[in-house]
Amino acid sequence: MSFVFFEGEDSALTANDGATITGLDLGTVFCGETKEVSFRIGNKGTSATNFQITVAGVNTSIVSDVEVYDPGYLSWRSESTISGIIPNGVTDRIKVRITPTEGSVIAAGTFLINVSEV
Amino acid sequence: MATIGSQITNTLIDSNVYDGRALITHRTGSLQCLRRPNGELWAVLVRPGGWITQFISRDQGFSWIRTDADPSTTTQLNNVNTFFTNGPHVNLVISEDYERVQYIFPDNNTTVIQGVSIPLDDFDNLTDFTTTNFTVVNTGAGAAKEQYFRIASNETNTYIWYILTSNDRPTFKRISPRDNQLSAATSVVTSPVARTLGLCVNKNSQVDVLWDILVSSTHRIRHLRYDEASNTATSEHEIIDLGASGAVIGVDLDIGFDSYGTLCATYTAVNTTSQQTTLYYAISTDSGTTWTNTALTRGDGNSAYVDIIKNQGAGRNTVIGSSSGGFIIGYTEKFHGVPKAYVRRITTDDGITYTLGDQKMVATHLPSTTSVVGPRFFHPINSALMDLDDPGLVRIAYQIGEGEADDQSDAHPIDIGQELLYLTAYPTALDSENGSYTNDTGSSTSLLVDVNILGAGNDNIDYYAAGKTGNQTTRYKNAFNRIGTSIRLLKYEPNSTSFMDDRTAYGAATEYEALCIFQPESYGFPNPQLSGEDQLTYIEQDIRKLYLPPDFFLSREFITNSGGYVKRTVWLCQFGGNEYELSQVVPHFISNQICYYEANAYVVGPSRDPFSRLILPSET
Repeated sequence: MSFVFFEGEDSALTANDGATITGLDLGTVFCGETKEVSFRIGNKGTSATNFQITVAGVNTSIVSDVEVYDPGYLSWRSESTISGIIPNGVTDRIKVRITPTEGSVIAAGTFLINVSEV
Repeated sequence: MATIGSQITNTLIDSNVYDGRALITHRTGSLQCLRRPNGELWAVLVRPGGWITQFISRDQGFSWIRTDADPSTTTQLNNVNTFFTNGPHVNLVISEDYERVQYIFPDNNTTVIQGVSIPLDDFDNLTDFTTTNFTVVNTGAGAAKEQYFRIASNETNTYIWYILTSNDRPTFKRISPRDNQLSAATSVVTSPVARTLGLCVNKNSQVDVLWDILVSSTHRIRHLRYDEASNTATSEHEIIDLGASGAVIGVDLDIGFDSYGTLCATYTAVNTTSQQTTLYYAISTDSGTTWTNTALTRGDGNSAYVDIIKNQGAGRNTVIGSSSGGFIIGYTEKFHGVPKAYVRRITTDDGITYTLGDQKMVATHLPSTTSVVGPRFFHPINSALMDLDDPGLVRIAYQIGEGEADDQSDAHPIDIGQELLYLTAYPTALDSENGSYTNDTGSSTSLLVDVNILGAGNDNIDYYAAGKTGNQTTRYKNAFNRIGTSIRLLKYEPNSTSFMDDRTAYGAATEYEALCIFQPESYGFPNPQLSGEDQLTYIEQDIRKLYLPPDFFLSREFITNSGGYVKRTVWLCQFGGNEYELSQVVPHFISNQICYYEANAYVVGPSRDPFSRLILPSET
């Protein structure tokens, strides 16, 4: 693993500068409404890397309500690919949003944003 | 998911009824509660004086319009005038196609089973129309006929099955709501039967009949299907032999069908010596040829229900079928010595295998010492079925209190209540957790995201406490602290045990102070009411906007108090020597963060009493 996570608001210019995180808190969201959160990926590797972002988790009903903004498609999708991040470089903000469907289980839960190098 | 609006539409149909048999007929069923396709709820009762009273709700049970047959004149609708020991067994039929309403009931005074047909179009009352009357049969004096006939209807006919004595062959007549013409009497059951009938009819005019019969010294429940098209009947099918040398009889027979055509019969076996009861349901997936009986396992604390007037065991069984397969049965048992009404789902995925669900008590909001008897479903009209996949959407009526006299002269009144089953039996969470999620475990290649999913945004939620906050919230809060005016607010909680509809239905005020922004006065002088000829009246017109800080939540609850009135928490604010009622509160958000609440403030005066006015659920 040769990448790190930053908050979307982190203004780090290089992968070495930012404050790394392991999780995000989306806070509260109402059924039928949309809430967005963002993060950045810093490339700690030695070569330019493409990152694939997918959504996963044990709570399948939550996962199905989450989308990632894919700049390549200019649309919200279930996965996204960020290409050509140079060594020590940092991606732009990667936006993730959740829109719980009406009738969702009302409770606190989690989901995972998985990142892999492709 | 049901909305919060429907949660509060569970007001009493009628209160202070001096008739312990108002909704139920002892040891048999009747068809008194219907729901029209347009959502109207109809419930018919008989007043202790003997006249029919029709209750209609056009707002999903929120309010009930009552209309009485004129008790001062002699009409058929005012001829239910002999006291019944088992209940004034009135049945309601609505025909949308032919725009008719039929009331069918026994009249022990003239010893007939009779009916009245009146127009449905623009139904407004029970007096201003011309009735069409028909006599089904002369029953002769003697036995309590209310136990001996049942009706069922489909889109074309109303079927009236009856037995005239306790050892007679069941006979039926049918009447079309189109022309109110009765058919000739037909009897297709070959054996004399003992008592009580259960009845349903599908849209193909196939009538399924249940009865109790004494054969070889034991009572049996039997079934037969009559087919109108071919004018033939199947042979008799035995559902169960109750055994016990005739000491056990079958009562409270009811039958229904679901979208698979499966039949569900429900009944109570009563030991006539000990009055002990066993409640059953039976399923038939082959049009009644074979049956599978299941005795309901008695829950902890449950015991047999014994009718307090007759001192006879009973179950008050009833059943409703689903348009998506399955049934819900209703019945009455005692819980720690107090009669309570229960429901149970019978679910299926394939129309072949049926699974009994858990027992659920209804009307649990009432005190544990209050009797609740005789659950009666609001059936769709005629042979229509409703979708029971969400059992919470089923509406049920029940009697609160048992009464104590068999001649409709009770010393203590009972109430007729009703509710959607999701109020207590099958609740759906509206604004709080209704389940749980499993937590994921993060890794070095993943971000773990926490999220808290709340209910729908229109629920009555304290957004600040729920965490819908952020920088915008802080800014608005600071702004209120800097420029807000100190306002005194009074909160009045409704008292659930009150019988009143005025200020006395509320407790003492709880006082709050908040820094709010109050809109300057928006009027000069009260406007004169120019349309009044006799006197000049004025309309209070002091209506302003009040802006409340984001952390001041006007928590409100709706309740139905003991008097049957829907009451909402009242918020008043005091400003400039006046009191204002705060209503129509709207939360304002920026970036999903609560910023402030906007409320309309109405000056309180003789024409606007916040404690007695009816507040609809749509008024936020």
